[in-house]
Amino acid sequence: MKLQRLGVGLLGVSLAFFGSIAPAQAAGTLTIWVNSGEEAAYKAASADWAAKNHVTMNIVAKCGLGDCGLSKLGPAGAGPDLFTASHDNTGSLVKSGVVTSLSTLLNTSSYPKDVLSGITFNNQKWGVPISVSNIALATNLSLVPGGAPKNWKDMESTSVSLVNSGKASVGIVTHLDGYFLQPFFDSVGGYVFSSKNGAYTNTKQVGLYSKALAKNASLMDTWLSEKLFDKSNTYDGSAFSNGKAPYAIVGPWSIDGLDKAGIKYEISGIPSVNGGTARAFSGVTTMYLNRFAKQKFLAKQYLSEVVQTTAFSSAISSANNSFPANSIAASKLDKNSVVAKFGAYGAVCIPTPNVAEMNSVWTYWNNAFADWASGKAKFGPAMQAAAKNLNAALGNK
Amino acid sequence: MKISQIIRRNSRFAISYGFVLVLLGMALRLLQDQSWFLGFFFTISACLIIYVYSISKKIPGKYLLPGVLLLVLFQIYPAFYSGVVAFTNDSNGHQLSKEQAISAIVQDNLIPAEGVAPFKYFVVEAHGKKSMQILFKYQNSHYWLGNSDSVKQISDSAIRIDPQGNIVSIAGYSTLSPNEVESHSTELQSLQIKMPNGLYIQPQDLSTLEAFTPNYTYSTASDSITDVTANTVYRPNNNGQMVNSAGDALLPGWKVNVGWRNFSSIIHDQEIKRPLLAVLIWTFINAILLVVLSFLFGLALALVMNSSHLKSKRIYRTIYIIPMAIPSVLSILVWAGLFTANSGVIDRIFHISTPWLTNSFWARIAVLIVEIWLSFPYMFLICSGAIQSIPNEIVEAAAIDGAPPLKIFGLIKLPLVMRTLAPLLVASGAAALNNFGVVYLLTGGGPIFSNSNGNAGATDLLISYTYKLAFNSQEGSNYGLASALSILNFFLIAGVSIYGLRRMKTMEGVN
Repeated sequence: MKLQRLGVGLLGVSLAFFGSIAPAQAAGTLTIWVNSGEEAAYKAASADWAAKNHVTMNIVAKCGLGDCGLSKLGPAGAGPDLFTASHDNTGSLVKSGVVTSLSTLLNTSSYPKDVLSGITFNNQKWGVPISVSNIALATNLSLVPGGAPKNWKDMESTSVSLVNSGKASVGIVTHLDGYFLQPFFDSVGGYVFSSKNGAYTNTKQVGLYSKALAKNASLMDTWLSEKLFDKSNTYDGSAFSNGKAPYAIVGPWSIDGLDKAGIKYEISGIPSVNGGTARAFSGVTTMYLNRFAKQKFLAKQYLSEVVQTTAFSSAISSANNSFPANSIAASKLDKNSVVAKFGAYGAVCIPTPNVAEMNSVWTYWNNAFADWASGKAKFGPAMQAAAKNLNAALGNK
Repeated sequence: MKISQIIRRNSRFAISYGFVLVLLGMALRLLQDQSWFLGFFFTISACLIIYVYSISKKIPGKYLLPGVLLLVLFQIYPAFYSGVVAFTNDSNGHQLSKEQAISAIVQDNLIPAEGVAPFKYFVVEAHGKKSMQILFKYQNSHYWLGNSDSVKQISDSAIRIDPQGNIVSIAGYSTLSPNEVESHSTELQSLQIKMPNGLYIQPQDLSTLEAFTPNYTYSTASDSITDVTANTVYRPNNNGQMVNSAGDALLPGWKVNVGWRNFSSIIHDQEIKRPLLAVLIWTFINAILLVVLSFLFGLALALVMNSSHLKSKRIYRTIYIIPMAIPSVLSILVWAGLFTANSGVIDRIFHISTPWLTNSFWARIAVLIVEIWLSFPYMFLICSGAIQSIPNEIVEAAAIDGAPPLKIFGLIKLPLVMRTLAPLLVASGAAALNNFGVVYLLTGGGPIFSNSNGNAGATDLLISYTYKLAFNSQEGSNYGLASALSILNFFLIAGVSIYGLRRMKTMEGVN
C-alpha cells in the first residue's frame, strides 16, 4: 500500500518536526549579532576560545545602523546574548532597558578616555569597546601634489583655484549633513550639546546656534557659493576618484573603494578656520550584553576573556579597516598606514553624543543642512530655526 | 475493526493529519513561549480542522474554514493587536513590564561593595526537593544558605569541608555535580540575595559570588524607589516612569495603558498635528491626481490602440504592459537613480538641473510620475476591455446619424466605459491612499519638513508617516501613536471606499 507508506512517512516527518521545534537550548551556545559583513571576522577571532570552552558560537549578521531592533526584540526574548552597535545608541538602549551595566567587568585601563566616555551613561559603563571609526579628509595627490592641506586657508584656496580653473567640479566631496559636516560645524563654532569631560549630561544647552556660530555662519554660505560643497547634496565619489575634486570626506568604509580605484590619496584631519584641527564625531563599535540574554554567565566570560583582549580588538579592526579601541592594539599599528592616519585624526575627534536626545538632534540638524544646501535658507537662520525646534522638542526653555 | 484497517481507511488523509500535527507542534511551542493568543489559535484551528474535515458531514464548512482561519490570523488579529497598542504608551523607553523596569533600575545601579572580594559558592538541593539553594561563606565568618526568596545562617557543624575549602557534605542537602550546576544556570543568572546588612549578593559565574551596595532600593509596600545616596524618593507617574518631586525620571520606564491619550494628542498636540495635516492633504491630492491622470492616460492609449488604422498593435500592447511586469521594487529604485539631480539620466538628457528629490514640489512631481508609470498599464488594460465591450452597432448608429467622433466619445463611449470602470476606479483610489512602496523607496517621504516633530516630509502619505513613527522614527519608535494613526488611516480609507461605492450605485441608477 503506497498510500499507507506515505502516511507513515508523513507521520515520521511531522514527528521529527515536532521534536525539532521543542526547545533545544544546548548548554553552551552563545548568540551574537554583529554588523553584516563582519560575521566571519568575529567567528575567526573567537574560534580558539570557543573550542577551548566547548562553546558553539552562533554569530549572525543582523545589525547595521541603530540598535539592531533590540529595544523591541530584547524584552520579547527574541534577542541574542550579545550584540554590537555604535556607541551613540547607548543612551537610547539604556532608556529602553535592554542592556546591562558592564562597569564591574570592564578593564578600563585598556581604553583611551574618549572611548570610555562614549560608552558611559548615567555614571555606568554599558559595553565593551572594539573599534573606533571616524571620517577624515582624503586629498587627491594627482590634483594636489603638495599633499594634505597645512591649514584651512591652504585648503580653501586650493579648492577655489581648481574649481575656477575648471580642473575640478567641486572642492570637497561630502554629504551635506550633520555627521559629515560636523568638522566644519565645529570649525565655525557650533556644537550639539555642551559637554563636560566628554560626557553629554546637559541636554538643556543646545549649541546649534551658539554665539560663535552666529558670528561665523556666513562663512558656510561663502563656502557653498565658492563650490567647496556641492549644492545638489549628492556624494559623488567618482568625482574624487576621477580627479575632478581635490578633497573628499571619507570614512574607513571608503578605503577599499579608493584602493580599488587605484588613485593616490592621503588621509589627514580637517583643518579648522581658527587654526589647528576641526573635530569630527568618532563612533565606537561596542559590544553590549542583552539584559534578557539566555547565557549571561557565558556572555560575560566571553566579554572579559575574548572581547576585551588586544588580539580581538586588532582582529576586528583590521577586518573592517577601523582603528582598534584597545590602546595596546592601537599602538601596534604601522604609523604610516591609512588606518593609523584615520586613528591619529580620531584621537582629536569627539565621541558622538550618546544621549537618547541625540535622535531628535539628527532630525532637526540634518534638515537645517538640507535647507541650507538647497538654498532655502542661509546657514545662520537655518541653524537658528533648528535650535529653536530642537529646544521645543526636548522641552528646554 | 483491526488497526491495520483503520490505518488503511485513513491513509488518504495522511496529508491532513501531518498538517494538523504540524499545527499542534507550533501551538505547543508558542504556548511554551507564553504566546497565548497564537498558541490557543493553532490548537483550536487544529481541532476545527479535524472536526470539519473528518467528523462533520456538512459541506459548506469545508470550503469556508481555511479562509476564515487565515482571515482571523492575518487580518483580525493584527487589527485587534494595533487596537490594543493604540491605547498604550508603547514606545522607545516604555517597552518593559513594570517589574522588569524596576529590576533594571535597581540592578544597573549596584555598586561593588567596598572591601568585599568575590567569594565562592556551592549549589545544593534539599533532600527530596528539586528547588535549588546556594551555600556560601560570607565575609569569612559564617556559612549562609538561601535563594532569592530567603537566606539564613547555618551552623558550621552541619557542614563538612575538605582542605581546599570545598563543601563535602551538608546535613539535609545534597551537593550538585558541575553538570547539574550548569543545568541551573538560568536560575543562577537571575539569583539575587539580600543580606540582612543590606548588601546584595549575586553570582558572577557558576562558582563566584560578588557583593554589591544598592544605589536605588525598591519598596513594594509604598511602590517607590529610594535613591540611597541622594536620599530622594521616586514614585510612579501616569506615564509609566519613576519620577521624583523635582520631575526627574529614572530610566527605563515601562508600558502602561494611557487610554485615549494617543488619539487626543493627534488632535491637540501641535507637534503632531502640524505635520499630520500637511501629510493628510498630500495623501488625498496624491490619490486623486494619480487615479485621474493614470486613468486619462490609460484611456487615451486604449482609444488609440482601438483605432483600426494602427498596425502591429500587439507589439505596442506588449510594450505597454512592461511596467506592470517588472517587479515594482526594482523599477522604483531605477527611477530613483534616474531622478538624481545633475548626474541623473533625466537631468543629463534634458540638460536641466532639477532638484528632483530634494525640493518639495519636484519630489511630489517625481512621485506622481513614477506612480503613473506603474499604474497606467492597469488602466490601459481595463479601458481597452471596456471599450471593446461597447457594442459596435451603437457607435455605428451614431456615426450614421452624423455625430462627430468627439461627440461619439463624450456622449456614448465615455459614459459606457465609466459605468463598468467606476467601481474599479474607486478601488484604485483606495489603494492609492495606501501607496506605500513608491514613497518609501523613491523619496523616503522626503524632503523632510523642518518643523515636523516626527519625520514627516513633503511626499509622505499617512501610511508612510505612520510607518516611520513606528519603526524608523528619529525620535525613537512610538508604536502607541503609530497604532492610533493606523486606526485613523483605516477609517479614512473605509470611509472613502464606502462613499465612493454608494456614489457608484446612484450612477448605475441614472443609466
